[in-house]
Amino acid sequence: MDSGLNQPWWIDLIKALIVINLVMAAFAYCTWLERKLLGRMQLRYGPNRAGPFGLLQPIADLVKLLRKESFFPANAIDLLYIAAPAVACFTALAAFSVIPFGGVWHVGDYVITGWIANVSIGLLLIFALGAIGIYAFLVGGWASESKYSLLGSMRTAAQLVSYEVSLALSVLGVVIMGKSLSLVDIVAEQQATIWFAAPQFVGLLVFFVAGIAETNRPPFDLPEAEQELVAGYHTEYSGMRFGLYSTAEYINMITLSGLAVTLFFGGWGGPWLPGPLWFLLKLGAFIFVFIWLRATLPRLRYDQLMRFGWKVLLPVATLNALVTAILVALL
Amino acid sequence: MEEFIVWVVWILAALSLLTSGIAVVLFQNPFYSALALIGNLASLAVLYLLLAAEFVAAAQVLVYAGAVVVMFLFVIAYLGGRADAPWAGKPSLQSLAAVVAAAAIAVEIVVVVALKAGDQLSTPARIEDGFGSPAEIGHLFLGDHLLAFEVTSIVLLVAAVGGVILGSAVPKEKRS
Amino acid sequence: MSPQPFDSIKGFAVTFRQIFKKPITQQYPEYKRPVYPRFRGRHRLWRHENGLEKCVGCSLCAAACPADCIRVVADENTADNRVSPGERYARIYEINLSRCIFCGYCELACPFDAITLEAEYELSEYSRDDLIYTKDMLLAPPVKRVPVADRELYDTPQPVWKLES
Repeated sequence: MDSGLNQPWWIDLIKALIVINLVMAAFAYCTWLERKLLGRMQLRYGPNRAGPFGLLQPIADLVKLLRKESFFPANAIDLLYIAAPAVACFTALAAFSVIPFGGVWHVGDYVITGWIANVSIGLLLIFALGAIGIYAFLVGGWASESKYSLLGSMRTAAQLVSYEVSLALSVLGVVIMGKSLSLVDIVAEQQATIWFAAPQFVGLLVFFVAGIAETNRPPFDLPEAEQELVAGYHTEYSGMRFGLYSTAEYINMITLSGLAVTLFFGGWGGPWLPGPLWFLLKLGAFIFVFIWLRATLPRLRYDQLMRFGWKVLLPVATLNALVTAILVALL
Repeated sequence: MEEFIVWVVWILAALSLLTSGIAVVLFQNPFYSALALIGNLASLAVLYLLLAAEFVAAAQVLVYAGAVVVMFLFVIAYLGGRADAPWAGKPSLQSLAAVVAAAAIAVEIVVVVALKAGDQLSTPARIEDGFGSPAEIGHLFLGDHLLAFEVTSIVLLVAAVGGVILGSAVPKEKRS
Repeated sequence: MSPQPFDSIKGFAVTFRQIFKKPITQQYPEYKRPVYPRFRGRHRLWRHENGLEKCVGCSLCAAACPADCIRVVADENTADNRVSPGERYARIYEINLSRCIFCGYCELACPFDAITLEAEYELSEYSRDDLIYTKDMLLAPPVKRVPVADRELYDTPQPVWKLES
């Protein structure tokens, strides 16, 4: 089932540990970056009291969340209420197992690949994990036994399902050009030919917009808008459980940026610098764009959101796939 | 060692498949039934993976567990307690049909196992290197099984168009 | 093509440019913005030149206070213990700063200019009991000084009829 390179299983384990820890650290400093950058874009300093440049702010936030009372609504259904944020975090993290962040290194006797697993259906796996992630919001909102939570989670789930279709279709062009569903092969193809952002710019645009909707980021963040829905599906969550939902949202954002980098911008490829560093730089650029969008655009109303997803993004994504298929077949 | 792991995983997946399947039918609360269905589909995906059919496993999770059951959950969460089974209680035509269908499947399983034991099934499938990969499935869709593929796509198109028509028909009735 | 999409894109340029401008936040503990000269901060009891307290314990301030936070207990001025230039002085004078709304009515009510509201606003304490300021604390000058803006800039200009007469 796997391709070629054999490694002892414990190398994969070590890599997985490293990647998970790095992703969690990246999430923590992504929150720092968001607050500082958002502040700068709004002509103010971000947090600058906790440590130099506010660098200890995520630690302070973590301690606050851990020490906060994780209240448990009396009506809530125990197992589902507790499991929902955990499922959200799990699916967000698990998607990193197939994203390649480096080439192949030879250390002594061992061959260390820059990815944790190379499955022939890597892209499909990520979408499947995203589909499971929808349940985290749906079940979490329903298990809170509260009207705001239920409405918020229904809206979230409807939005996620709608934009997931456009997301999957927008990468069809990349799959046709890369001739494989495996992310490692797609990156290899981009290094051989050209970064797919150039021929697939429409696909990139659709992917990015659908991705913003998938991760509930502004301007598509109506499900978590405080003004409209109290707090949507995480109304009845506090303390570390809320922290887990927040973690899942940011890690989804990081995963989506990683996916965009891998599919459209050549993954870890680039001159001079080592692969993972290029990957981090490109990832940082995408996260900057996410934060930039948050600072600039107002929120889309829910019906505008749904209309946009089904009536604009879906036809554009389908047309992109069609045109790509025709051109690849002809050329 | 690998054989042992495969057996353990297979037994666990099969057991969870059966229990979740039974749970779907037996739970009172329809929301829990839908969640048990998700567990069922996840176990099925594990079994597909054991059979080296990774594309089918992922596609099944993505489409069935990821979209269809979400739709189920929407309806159940909105209707909640009003989604009682109208046929609960006395045995009826539907129960009889269910028993007949289950018996038919049981008979079929027994027959297949017996034939396999007697080596009388048709030639075993050729497991090549790319078995279960998207490329292989694509070749099968557009080669050996083109008719089934096209008929399925027509059925899906009919369902989609029917869904749109049904969804847009309600205002006309209100107007007239 | 409608101009609306371009306006959204120009919005991105605006937010991007702001990153490179200096933020306009005033960083509080390092920079304290000067308060206006008539700013109503913590109360202060005053003395005459010769050391006698101006406050005679008449309780007009306590009567005027809308939040009812001043406690005045007067006592007779004896010959060997003369505190104020009058018949009585305020033996106990306490203001509960957690009740005070800093309206300045006590300053307006006092006929002897004994109590004014000065500029100190950094009044945090760790317990509510510490917020009840006694007469000694009110007589004393503030521990921390806050910057006060220049009086010349803010004093009310003379009305027109006074200038021309």
